[in-house]
Amino acid sequence: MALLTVENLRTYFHTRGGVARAVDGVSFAIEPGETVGLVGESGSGKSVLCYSLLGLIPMPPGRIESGHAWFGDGVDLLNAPRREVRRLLGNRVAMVFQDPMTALNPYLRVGAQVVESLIEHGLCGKAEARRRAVEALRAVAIRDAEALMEAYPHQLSGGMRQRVMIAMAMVTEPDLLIADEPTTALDVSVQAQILGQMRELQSRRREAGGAMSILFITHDLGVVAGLCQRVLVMYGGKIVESGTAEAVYEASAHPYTRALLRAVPCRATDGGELYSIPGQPPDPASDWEGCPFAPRCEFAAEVCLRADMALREGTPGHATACVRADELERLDRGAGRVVS
Amino acid sequence: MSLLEVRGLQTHFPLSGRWLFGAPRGVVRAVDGVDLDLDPGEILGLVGESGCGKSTLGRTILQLERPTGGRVLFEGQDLAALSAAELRRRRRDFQMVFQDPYSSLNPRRTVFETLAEPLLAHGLVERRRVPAAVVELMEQVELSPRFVRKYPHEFSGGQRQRIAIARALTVGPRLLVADEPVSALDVSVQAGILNLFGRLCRERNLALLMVSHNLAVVRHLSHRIAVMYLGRIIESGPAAEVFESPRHPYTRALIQAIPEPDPRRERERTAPEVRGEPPSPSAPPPGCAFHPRCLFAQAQCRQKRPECEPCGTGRLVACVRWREI
Repeated sequence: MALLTVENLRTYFHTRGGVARAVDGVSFAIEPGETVGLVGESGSGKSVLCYSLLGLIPMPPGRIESGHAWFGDGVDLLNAPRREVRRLLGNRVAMVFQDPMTALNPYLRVGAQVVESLIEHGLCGKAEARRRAVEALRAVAIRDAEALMEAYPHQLSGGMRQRVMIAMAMVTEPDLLIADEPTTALDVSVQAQILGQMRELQSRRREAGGAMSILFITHDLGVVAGLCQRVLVMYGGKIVESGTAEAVYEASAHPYTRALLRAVPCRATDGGELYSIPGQPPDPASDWEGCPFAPRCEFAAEVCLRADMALREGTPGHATACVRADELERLDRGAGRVVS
Repeated sequence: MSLLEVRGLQTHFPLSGRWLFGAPRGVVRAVDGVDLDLDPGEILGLVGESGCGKSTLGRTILQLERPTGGRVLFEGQDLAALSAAELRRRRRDFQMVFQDPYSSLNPRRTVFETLAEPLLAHGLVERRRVPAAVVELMEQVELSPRFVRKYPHEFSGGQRQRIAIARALTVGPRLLVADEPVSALDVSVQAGILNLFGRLCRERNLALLMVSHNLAVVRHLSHRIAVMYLGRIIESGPAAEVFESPRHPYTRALIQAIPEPDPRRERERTAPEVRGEPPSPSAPPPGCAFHPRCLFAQAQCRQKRPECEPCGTGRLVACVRWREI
């Protein structure tokens, strides 16, 4: 059974300028122990999606218009009584934010912040909480964990703070870790270390007979490739493609995913023109019909302007919202590109 | 002769405040003895992690920070020796594009006002010819001249960066310093800005110093790459060669750490070749500044700071063990 099942989630923001449909009918599931990457550019709705699950949307102006998010043995994170949801958040469901500079409390010592969720949820006593906090810090490769418990966040480097954030999230041994761009603010050499540690934490849980799922939100297609078994691609508030990492990267079934992959400068690219996607991502406050990518899509046809954006499975487990998905290979070849 | 020659450049910032009994608290050696050359039309990518001094180096070359040592020769003329008035005139030849197009444009000025001001201030165009010149600039950066009366907030990040580039081009510079010009932008618009830089450099024989933390971005655009660590350049050479066969352990680690959009390759990923985080530039480690993080460090690395030595045509490396690595 899936650990988390999100059904038809819609989060709108009601502003003076109109209604911004930040998340517009998103459904997906995460299995126990699975790492799912949620990829999208700024404004695609990926952060709003995870804040909705955690009850962090400011209301007003935000409003969750519809949807369910069934977690574990059947608590709806979106509609269950607040009390019941709070038992899970920071306990069975934990979160790592993008910016460790602002997500840590500057007035509290690291130790006090790491033990907090253990104490608040009444999971153990003070002495035990401290022991588990030190252990959690050690697990993210902090050597001098005892001393670090006494430090204040401003005394730490960016990478160290992000490690503390991850230790804070991991200390309750959650079933689901939601990580919103956890390495974007870090240097590549530090990013590589932290990603390695997240993978290790997960496999250690597996060896101990448990399972931790990760929902990893990022704009970086490279980071997702190594970490995630499954990938969800988000655009204009909707999931436009979902599938295994291999399927999405090697046999992309949506023109947006294809264009994005071609636009990434990577080790192999050299000189020449990079592919750049024409136009701008859609403004969530404007009204549009059909496929949100159609105005920028080189293969957009009449049908795309009134296409319904339901995900359809082409091959098992690999779904796309593109109505012309079956024709993509032919269209790509027609555009003079060799498809690998 | 090179367009730009940087020799032994140093930018040290005194730390504010003093210890008890009046001794100064020391200096941050943001840039600590850098040599660089840049030819017309050449694109040099300057890479390094946050705090390595790459932005300060770019700013010091343009005299936005005054150097505390060394020389910046632009066409043989030492910029640090110029008076304020002379420097202002000379600034026409070198311009800057900043990282964040949201804060580097004046929100209360239309595109027209932003682009017309430098033209008039430097007396480059007659007043009645200004509108035509502005339209031409906008076309150069692939922005529609229809937008000429719009304000920055009406544009997306990528479009704003194009305006910032157009502003830098108004005075007809021969050198551009671009400090992380695409890191605030989405992948789908990054590529367009990188292509624009490439085209401008080719068409106008413009030299570009591109400062970035993203090796993949730099590799794509640059002819040469210089890698900076804690205020010094530790490796430099032709972009493709540095990428194919990095000599310095730090360069190797940086290249290895780039995540690639390829699930099969990424799953095979080995442990990072670097440990820990960059040290503070106010208290650099003795010897080679990289040795505490280096997997190949020996006793000699802790004692003597390695100087740059040639390691192939047009290549320099500052590592005593580069032959073995």
